[in-house]
Order: sequence, then structure tokens, then C-alpha cells
Amino acid sequence: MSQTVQYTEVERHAEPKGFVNRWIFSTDHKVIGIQYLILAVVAAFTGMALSMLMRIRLVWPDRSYAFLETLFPVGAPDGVMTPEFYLAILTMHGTIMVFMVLTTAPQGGFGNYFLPIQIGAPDMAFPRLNMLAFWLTLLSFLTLMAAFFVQGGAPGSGWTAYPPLSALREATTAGIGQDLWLVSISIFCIATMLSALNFIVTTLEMRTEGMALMRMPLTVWGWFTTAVIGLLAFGVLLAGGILLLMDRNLDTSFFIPGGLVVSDRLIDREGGSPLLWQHLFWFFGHPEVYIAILPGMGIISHVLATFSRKPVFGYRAMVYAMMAIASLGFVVWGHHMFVSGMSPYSAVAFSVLTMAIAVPSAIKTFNWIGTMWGGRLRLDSPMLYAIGFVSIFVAGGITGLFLGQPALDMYFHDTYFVVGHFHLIMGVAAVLSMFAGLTFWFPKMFGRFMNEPLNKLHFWLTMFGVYGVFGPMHFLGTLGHPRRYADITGVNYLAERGSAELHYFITIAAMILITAQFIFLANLLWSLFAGKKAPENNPWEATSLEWTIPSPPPYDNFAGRVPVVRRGAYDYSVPGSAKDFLMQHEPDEMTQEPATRDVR
Amino acid sequence: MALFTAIVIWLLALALLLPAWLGPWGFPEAITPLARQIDSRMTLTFILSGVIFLLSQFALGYAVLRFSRKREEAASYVTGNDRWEMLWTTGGLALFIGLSLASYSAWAEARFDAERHAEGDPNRLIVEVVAQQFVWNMRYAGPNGEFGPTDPQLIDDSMGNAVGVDRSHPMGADDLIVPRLALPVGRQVEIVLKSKDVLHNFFVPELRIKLDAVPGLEGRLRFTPDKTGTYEIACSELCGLGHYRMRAFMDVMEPAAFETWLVEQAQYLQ
Amino acid sequence: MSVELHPAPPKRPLGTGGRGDDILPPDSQGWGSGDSGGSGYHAEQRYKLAVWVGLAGVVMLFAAISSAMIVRSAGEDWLHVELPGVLWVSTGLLLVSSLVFEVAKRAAQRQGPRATRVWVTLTALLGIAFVVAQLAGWSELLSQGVVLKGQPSGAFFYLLTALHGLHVLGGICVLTYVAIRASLRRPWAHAKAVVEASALYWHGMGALWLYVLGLLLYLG
Repeated sequence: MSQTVQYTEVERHAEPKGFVNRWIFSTDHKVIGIQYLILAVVAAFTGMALSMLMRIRLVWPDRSYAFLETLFPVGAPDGVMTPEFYLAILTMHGTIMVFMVLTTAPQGGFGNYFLPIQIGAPDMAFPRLNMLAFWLTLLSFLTLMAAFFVQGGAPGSGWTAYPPLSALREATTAGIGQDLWLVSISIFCIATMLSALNFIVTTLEMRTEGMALMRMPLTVWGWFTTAVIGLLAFGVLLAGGILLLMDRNLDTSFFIPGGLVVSDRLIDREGGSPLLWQHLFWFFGHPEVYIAILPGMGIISHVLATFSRKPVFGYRAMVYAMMAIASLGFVVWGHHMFVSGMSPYSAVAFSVLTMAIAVPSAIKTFNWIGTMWGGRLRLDSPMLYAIGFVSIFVAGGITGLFLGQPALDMYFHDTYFVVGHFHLIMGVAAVLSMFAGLTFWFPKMFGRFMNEPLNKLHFWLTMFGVYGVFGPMHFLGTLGHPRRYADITGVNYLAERGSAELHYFITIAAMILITAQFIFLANLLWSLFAGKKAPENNPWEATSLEWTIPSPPPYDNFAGRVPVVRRGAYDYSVPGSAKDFLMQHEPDEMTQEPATRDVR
Repeated sequence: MALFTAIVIWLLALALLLPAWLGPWGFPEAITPLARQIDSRMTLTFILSGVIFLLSQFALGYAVLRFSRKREEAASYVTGNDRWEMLWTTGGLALFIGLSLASYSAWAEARFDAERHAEGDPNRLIVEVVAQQFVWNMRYAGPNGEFGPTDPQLIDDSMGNAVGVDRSHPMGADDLIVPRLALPVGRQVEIVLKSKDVLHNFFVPELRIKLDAVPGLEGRLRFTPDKTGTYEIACSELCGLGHYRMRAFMDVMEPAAFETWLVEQAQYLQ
Repeated sequence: MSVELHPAPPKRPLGTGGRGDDILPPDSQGWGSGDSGGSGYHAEQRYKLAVWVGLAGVVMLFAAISSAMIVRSAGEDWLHVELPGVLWVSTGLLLVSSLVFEVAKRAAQRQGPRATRVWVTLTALLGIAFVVAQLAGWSELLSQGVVLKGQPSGAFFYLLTALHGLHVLGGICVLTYVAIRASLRRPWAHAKAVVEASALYWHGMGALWLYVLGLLLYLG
């Protein structure tokens, strides 16, 4: 067994020339990854602005805002948000956040950038397909945003777009906005499926010598399983979207039953089933939430190991748990439909399966704590975000135990309890994993560090903020506060039982939380140009392949010399080795031998 | 930093859990036996999940504190422990599925019998609740005890026939269509839930149960209220701009008062 | 630590492209330049895998529509639609085109660009003929008064044939690309890989059409 590091010499493909080829229509996975991240950041701030509007309407429904009157004269006449405007911003907030942030940044952003590098490849299997997928995603985002500016405005049927509300023009004030929404989502489906194809083929076919599947970092496993889910789930959403577009525009009746009367007018359709949409949507929708979280789980495992100086606890179990989550995720969709009129017998089956899927998540949580246990923790900001992730993931996941039981879901369905649950998991945990990834990989991507004290300030403000915003939502839920209510003036028990105070608290906390995100944005932008330089390849002393190359990486990642992989991804603190980490390309015995362990 | 982190983790966990346990935002009073059964399952789930939650957050904070960078020893090279994995896998599976099965009977009682049109209390009161944008219409069968046939063509909100009952039909002539759900205490109720236009959802927090009103389908809910009082029905499925104010009242009253009410409503019909 | 170059002296063109543990023989290189793919064994593996993966996504789309169709067919307003006879012609055309594509594949493996070009063009023409025949079928149904409104079985017919037809047209585009590629003086090995993979896609479209036809016959 050779005691030296080995490399595979490879011929380099031509370097792209010209501004447009290098930065706009680039096939370089790193540039595309950054493009997805930029899209996600823009979308995230748009989504946050919408949520701020929601929060201030809930607390001050009658207040007038001049800027709203200018921007949305129809939706906010005299600057006061109408209930239908509230529903429109609610719908767009959900759609933008779920699709344009959570389905882009973790996978299209970080996955695109780091998957090829972490497996030793010079790029994705199909770079031009990769570029096409990004531009289709951008087109989808622009189509979606266009809905705000057409007659009738953005749709108000929720990100779930249940028919008949979403199918009948007579039932709502939105018109072509709903069609634009559907077209946007359909384009997004195609873009995501193409991207998923790329990820799958790349992971299976482009690993460098020595990179066996069970040596891949868990980040790669996260992106790979997510791609498989995306490939299989988005086709179903596309089908649903096409059928709903047909119902809206071509007089079909896939989802519209007969005998409907809207505002005393008889609707001339018959035979369709609103539940059919729900089945199609949630067959996609539940796997979608795992798409949103699995890459994040991979990043968290990776960061925890790095900053604990310890191997991931139970690497194999982590891989199998991801696979279990991915497969079980396809058979639990009915838990969104316990009170939909679906057969209560199938509800029992869905409930048992839903409780079962809590198990691999629990395994991962215990393994994360196990990774930290006995380690030597370095509490730099990526690590803080990772620790925050585990805390929030437990908080959000635990409420799933209530919602997974249909007897209890009867109370909580469509209340703020659900809103609190999914925001903690998707809106907070998944986003914390993005912060962990960004602060961890920032030096590699840009050759500079972000300002560390500012990151820590952002982290603490965010932790307090998210508990302050989403914690009380669970109490609104136990009060029986339905979701998607424009305000609390219509139902007496809401004000009588104290929801007004809770709403006020949430809104103030949201203001603090959103302000904190601007701190992060400012730090990000400033650090890009003036952050402390990170000249060394491996400032965090991490083990995976991206830390063997310069920061930022050369255009083809490894500049023609790819390290041969000799070990798994998490050999930290290996007994008998000179340093407290061994990179994946380092052989078992080092040629330099300091006598003592160098513990920093 | 490590101490601060651990303390904040523990504080935030308590900040979530303690108000949940001790705060004033709990469920409103339960007014049916089924609701109380559901409440006991809620409590069981809360205790179990609360314990898991606290233990996990404690372990997380403790790990941060105990294994900080300042310690002398190197990290331990532990790659896993298959025995622990088996333990918390099987333990978790048993616990979570056990929880689900523990609330099975409450679910069955709420939905199975109604689903298969099993014989309920033959003396039960059947009320049709027909949802529309943005009001609830309650239909009572009237003195003859039978619901009249309906036809969407006959729907005329302005003339008080929101449900489209055929008034010329002998069975339909005496149907009451009212905006309030009046119920006699202590008698089983069967709600036949319908919708005229889009999805709605019938929810009364004090009952602990809800069901979507699906156009084209008839849903059924059965319950027996055993406390008098006035409760609110709050629509719980997004149905359009008026969703937040689609509210009706459910009046549970003494049987004698209920009979009086029926007679009064029949008089208005004339 | 010292750096040792890997023993095989000839430089591998363009990327390692592997499954992690295989040592590549010097002449079966993998990865391509800004051109997607590359040449030889690894490009073929990649393209074929890509087609299988892509077909899985397409299958899910059609599976979802199938389940919608099954649910909808239980409705009272489900009217039987007599499938136009020209559909048997189009089916025949598509099946024959698959056979022709197999010939094209063998030509690519054993003969070379000129022979392949002929057979690939023929396949594409048969594909176009298939689409035209499908449109003729649409025309026939429309003239019988089968429209989208009030006719769920008709709606599914149009939807399924349209989606399938679009995917076939996509395949024809790839065939056109190959035919053009075979005419130019470019690395042949890469185009060979594309032919192999797109044959798989084409047969997939044929199989998908047989499934759709069966579904329409059984439920429609």
C-alpha cells in the first residue's frame, strides 16, 4: 500500500472565454450554483417581505400604507390590504419560499457547486443541461412574479391551490394570475426533473478513483437521494398542474363536480373530484418537504463532524436513514388529507406509516448528538448554525407526533399549529442548514471569510427570533385558530381567548427576525469584496475533497490532477495520526511523523 | 461561548414547553365524551413528546458544554454503535406506532360508523349543514322527519332557499333552512356536511373534530354534546376572500328549548 | 508528503469519469469538454443511464395521469370513445420505427457515419409519420364531436396522445441532431454513444405508446 498521496492526471477541457460565457450563460457548475443561490436569496427576501405584510395586516387590519397604495392600487385600495390581497400574498409567500428558496438553494445552489468537487469530478455529467435547468428555473420565477401585476392579481388559493376554488374563475377575484402560477409551477417541474437527472447520473458515473459510494460525504448522499425524490415526485405535480390548467381554460372537469352554484350562478361542469387534486398534489407535496430538508441534513452531518473533530456517528445508519426517509416519504401523503373526506380506513394506514417515518429522523437526530458527544467542539459560526438546526429540528419534528394521529389532527388540521410545525422544520431548520453551508463554504467559494462576529450575532438573533415567531403559533393552534385567516375580526373566540396578544408578540418577533436577516445579507455582500482573505486551501481543517483545491477553485476544479481517494469522509481524530484529521486522499501512513499529536 | 450556547438551548426549549404546559392557551372546554377521549390522547402525546423534547435539548446543550474545545483530551474516534442504533430504532418505532394505535379508537368513533352508515342512535338528530361562500346553511327535516329533494336549479339565496330544496314536494315543504345550528343537549347528532361551491370545513373547537365540506360529496360527523352553551363554527378550509369571517353559531340547548325553537322556525317558514 | 503520478503514462483525455473504483484502460476515455459527454465507453454509460433516469420521470408523469383517468372513469358521465382506426396505423409506424432504429444502432456500431445517417433519418421520418397519423386521429375524433368539454374520456385521449407526441417530437429532435452529426467530420465515438442511448429512449416511447393505447382501449 503506497504511503504517498496519489493523483490521477486528466486532460483539461477548454477554459470558457468571455464575460457572457463565464458568468451569464455558463455551463460551469460552480457559476450555475451561485446563480441558483442568488435566485434563492432574492426569492427569500421577497418571501420575507410578503410575510411581513401578512403579519402587519393580522395585527393592524385597517391601517393604511402609502407604499401599498402606489404598488397595489387594486389589492390595497387607499393603502389598506383587502382580505383577498392577504390571501394573494399568503399564496405567493408559500409558493416562493417552498419552490424558489427551499427547492433551489439546498440542491441547485450548494448541490450544484459542491457535488462534483466532493466526488472528484470536473463538472456535472451534462453541463449544458445544467445551464438549461437554471434558466428554466429563473423563467419559472419570473412567470410567478408576473402574477402580481396582471388583472386580478396573484392567486389567493394558497400554495396548495385546491380546486374548486383554484379552478373556478367565478369563485375568486384572481384570474389569469392563477394560470400564470400554474404555468410557472409546470416549468419549475420540468427544470427540477432535468436537474435531478443530472445529479443522479453524475453521482453514479463520475466519481473519481477510490470514491466508493460508502466513502462519499453525507452531503453527496443528501443531494443524491433528494434528486431521486425530485425525479419521481415532480412528474406527478406536473400532471396535476396540466389537468388544472385544462379545467380552468379548456372546459374540462377533472376536479370540478356537478351542481355547483357560486353566488347564485350554476356552474356548467360535472363529474370531477376535488379530492383527486389533493391526492396528486400531496403525492408530490410530501416528498417535496423531504427534498427541502435532506440536503440540509447532509450539510449538518458534514459540519457537525468537521467542527466536533469526530467521525459522523453511524455513517451507514445515516445513509440508510436518508434512503428510508426518501422511500417512506412517498407513502405518507394521506396525512395531509385526514379530514378531507378521504376514507378514514386509509387514514389509519397513512397514520402508521407517518409515525414510522419519524423513526429515521429520530435516528439521524440521535446520531447528530452522537457525533458531537466525545468530540472537541469548535464553536465557529457554521457549527452554531448546525447546533441550532438540531435544536429546531427536534422542536419542529416533535409536533409531528400530534399531527400524525388522525384523532388529534382533527383538532389541529388547518390551524396555526400546522403553520408552526412546518415553519420550524422548513422555514427554520432548512434555512439554518443553508446558513451553515454558506458560512462553511464561503471561504472556498470566494477566497474570503465572512465576518465571524456578525455571523454569530445573526445566529443568536435568529434563534431567539424564530422561537419567538413560530413558538406562539403552536399556542394559537391549541386555541383553535384556523390558518389563512386575514384577521381575527370574524370569529369571536379568537380575540376572547387571547390570540390578539399572541399575534402581536409574533409580529414584533418577526420584525426582529427579519431585521437580523438584513445583517446577514449585509455581511454576505460586504465579505464578498472586503472580507478577510482565506488564502489557504483548508481553513477549517476539513476532510472532503473540496478542501484540497484552491479558493476559489479553478474552472475545472482540480486543474487536471484529481486526488485518488483512500478513505471515507470523516476520519477525524484517528488514533495514531499526526493531526486530528485525515483528508480523503491521505493514505494510512504518513511519511512525515511528528512524535506527538498536534491538537489545536 | 459554550456555556452561553448551552444555556440558550435550554432556555429556548423551556420557553416553548412551559407555556404549552402552563399557559392560558389550552383547548377550550370539551363538550362531548369523544372530545374528552381525544383530550386524554392529547395529554398522553404531550407528555411523551415533551419528555423526548426535553431530553434531546438537554443532551444537545450538555454535549456543547462538556465537549468544548478547551478540554485536554483529543476527540474520541467513535464511528458509531450498532447496539444503540438498534435500540433507538426499535424503541422509537414501538413508541411512535404505539402512540398512533392509542388514539385509534377515538378516530374510529369519530369517523368509522358514520362512514359505513352504521346504525347510530335511532333517535339521533340529523341536520344537514350546507356550506357556501361565506355562510353556513343548516337544514332541518321539519315535522315530517324527512329531508325534501334538492336541485341546484332551485337555489335562490335571496329568497331564503340557499339549499335548493323543492318546496313543492311534500317532504320539502316543511324543511327548515336556518343560519344557526341549534341542537338539543344529550342527544346524538349526525351532521350531513355538504358544499355548494368550493371546499369548506366544519370546525367547532369544543367538539375537537372537523371535516371538509366537499362539493359533490356528503360527509358525516356524529357526536353527542353534553353541555349547553353557544359555540362558534369556524370555517377551516380556505374558501376565498371571506374565509376568515365564515362563522356560524352552534347553540346547544335544553330539549324543551330546542322543541320550542323548532316550532318558532316553522312559524317563520309560513 | 510526496506526490506520485499514477502509473499509466499516457494522459487520459478529459476527466476521470468513473464509478470510483475502476481503473480505466488507456483508450476508453470519459469526459467531454463544454460539449456534453465525451467519447467511448463512459459517455455511452452516462447517456444510457440518463435515458433510464429520464424515462423514470416520464413514467411518473404518465402514471399520475393514468391514476386520474382511473378515478375519473368511475364517474357517471364517462362516455365510451371509439378510437379512430388510424391509431392502428400510427402504432404500426412507431413499432416499425423502433425496428429501423435497431438497424441504425447496429450500423453505428459496425459500419459508420454514412450508413447510420441513412437509418437514423428513416427512423425520424417514420416518427414524423407517427405524429401526423396521431393528428389525423385527432381530426377524426373532433369531426365526430368529441371535444374536451363534458367528455372526460375524450379529454384524457387528447391529453395522453398530446403528451406522448411531444415526447416523441423531442426524440425526433435528437435524431435530427445525430443525423447532422453523422454528416460532419466530428469524433464518431461520441455520436455512437448518442445513438445507443437515444435508441433506448425511442423504444421507451414505443413501449409508452403501447401502454397508453392499452389504457385508452381498456378504460376509454
